[in-house]
Amino acid sequence: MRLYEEVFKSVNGEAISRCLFVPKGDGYFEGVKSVDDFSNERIVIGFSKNRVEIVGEAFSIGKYCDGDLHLLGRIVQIRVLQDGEKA
Amino acid sequence: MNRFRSYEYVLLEGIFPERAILRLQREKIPLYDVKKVQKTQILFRISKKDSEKVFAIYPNVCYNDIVYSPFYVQKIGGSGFFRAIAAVKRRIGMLVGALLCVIALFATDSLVFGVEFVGSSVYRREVLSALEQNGIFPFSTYTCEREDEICAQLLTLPSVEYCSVKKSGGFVYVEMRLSPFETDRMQKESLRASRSGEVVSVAVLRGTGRVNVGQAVHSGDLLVENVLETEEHGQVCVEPIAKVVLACTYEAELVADTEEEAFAKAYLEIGFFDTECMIERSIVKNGEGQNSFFVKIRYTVIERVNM
Repeated sequence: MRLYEEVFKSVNGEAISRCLFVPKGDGYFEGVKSVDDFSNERIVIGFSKNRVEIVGEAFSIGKYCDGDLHLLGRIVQIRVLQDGEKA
Repeated sequence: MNRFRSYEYVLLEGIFPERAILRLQREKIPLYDVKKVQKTQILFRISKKDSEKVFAIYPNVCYNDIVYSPFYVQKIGGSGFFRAIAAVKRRIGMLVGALLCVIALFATDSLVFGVEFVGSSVYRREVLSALEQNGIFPFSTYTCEREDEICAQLLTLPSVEYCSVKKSGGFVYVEMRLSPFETDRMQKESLRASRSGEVVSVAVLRGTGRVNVGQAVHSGDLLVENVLETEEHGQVCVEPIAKVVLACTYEAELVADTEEEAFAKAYLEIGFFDTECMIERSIVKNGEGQNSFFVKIRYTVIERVNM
């Protein structure tokens, strides 16, 4: 996609994680290194450089394989956790 | 989800089970439908081929208490096509039973278990006989093709105005309606002998028989009386239904040129009907030059009323 190409061009070829989500819908995350916390309402996903907290409802992981994570449920909020912030 | 791939549901239990997910990911095991059931329990689905890997990583301490494992893993069940096959294998007896039940239902659907009468059942015996002639009797298979033939046969019965034969469930329903005017046509008089002879057989369906087999009767004698003896009302007048067969003998000296002429005259005198049946006949010429013959004919007469 052109937009994605433009966005990732600005990162100077550095491998970054991609997040794709629909508000109040599912989410798809690439480059996932770990799942630090997981419950029906909250999930903390660890990437290579940062961690993301996703809050919502009725969470379940549809598929988790080779760093790709398909999150099912209703995503309400996504927040990048600061360094040292507790998961 | 690939329906033809075999999956297994696994319940992983332990403190902070997210660590187990990380470990399984490092081993390149794809996880599907991951759900946190409780704080220490995670339920997920894995491919059946990865099942051994998971149990190698987290040996089930229930079965192997020598090896320590921070997580307790157990299989919950399968999914996909192979799950269906496994379910079929587990319930093979029940499925065979159900299959046999369905086959039995289809097989018995065409069977006849009895005959029910709707409307009039006065011709019960005739109806059952007609059905049996057309191959319909208890535990026989029913075919609709003969319905019209049976109806046509039953409609020939006296006073039958309407008739239908059909099967519903395991029973054959015979609906028969009689004409309200037909009952008046039945003879109410007693059956009397129209000729002299000997009683060969007596069949009385309704009424009271007054003669026995072998008894000699004369013309006008009472054969079957139109009464019935009942305990409650004594003698009750009924319309008799009966048939009496008489064996009669005709002997006469007839003037004729030939034997055929003599027999012809004898038949005219007897007044043969369709129901009469000749048993034997003999003829003797009375001397030479005389035109007379002694004719003897034995025949049967069927006396009937309403039958």
